[in-house]
Amino acid sequence: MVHWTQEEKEEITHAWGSIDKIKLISSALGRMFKVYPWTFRYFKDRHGFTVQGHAAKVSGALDTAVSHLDDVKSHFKVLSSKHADELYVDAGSFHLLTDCIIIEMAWSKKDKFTPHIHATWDKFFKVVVDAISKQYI
Amino acid sequence: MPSKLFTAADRTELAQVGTVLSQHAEAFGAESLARLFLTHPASKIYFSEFTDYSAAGPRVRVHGAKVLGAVAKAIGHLDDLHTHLEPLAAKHGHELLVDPQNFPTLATCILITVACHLGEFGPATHCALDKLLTLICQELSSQYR
Repeated sequence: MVHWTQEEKEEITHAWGSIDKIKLISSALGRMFKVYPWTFRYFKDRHGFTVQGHAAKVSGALDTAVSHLDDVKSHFKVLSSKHADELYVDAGSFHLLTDCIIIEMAWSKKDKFTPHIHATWDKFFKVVVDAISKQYI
Repeated sequence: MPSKLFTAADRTELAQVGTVLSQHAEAFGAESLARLFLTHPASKIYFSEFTDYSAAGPRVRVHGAKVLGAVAKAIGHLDDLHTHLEPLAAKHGHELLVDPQNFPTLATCILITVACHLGEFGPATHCALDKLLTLICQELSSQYR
């Protein structure tokens, strides 16, 4: 089980509740497709794919993670199995999207994205990536 | 012969970023290291004699200036990065023995620091800087064995 400090939990729940999540994640996806172009391979043939549509899905999953910080793994079991057994996403690639989300947060918060705040979100996204990778073996 | 690794657009982006990095090498370098030390505490082993690992720490500022200064300088050597970085590669590979996994981790912290301070850090700028940092990481990792 992940140990969160009260400070970390407050930062995550407060900040997540006060941003335009779809806009942030849409920008992060666009950034990922430019900086890591091979990631678009997972989406280019998906019927009905739109950046905003996918951002909504990712945002929903992150809402779940934020609401269940003490047990992200169980809440991500189905999502992890889907990515492993159906979508065949390389588990080593999940961090590429979360790295871009962090960059978007850094850019929008500017010097408010202090090293301590950054470390909290780095930890959160490590937990998310670990949870979504869990059903791969 | 000009390197094909960087497009004309990349070079324009990097020239602009390079100016900012040179002007703020110490501040951005210190902040990048502070981010590294907080997100990857094991990296502090390479600086075990430091007492203050925050961005305000005097030794963090000195080292930060070196690191970001080297990145800014590399922007002037996009066509001969391998030769230009050879002395630094030799130093890290033979003397410092930093685990090369740390290089991309510090590169990420540099990108985040730049994102916090630049007016614009869109995908094209990010991509150009990421390309450069990736190459620097590869060069620094190249003389370990």
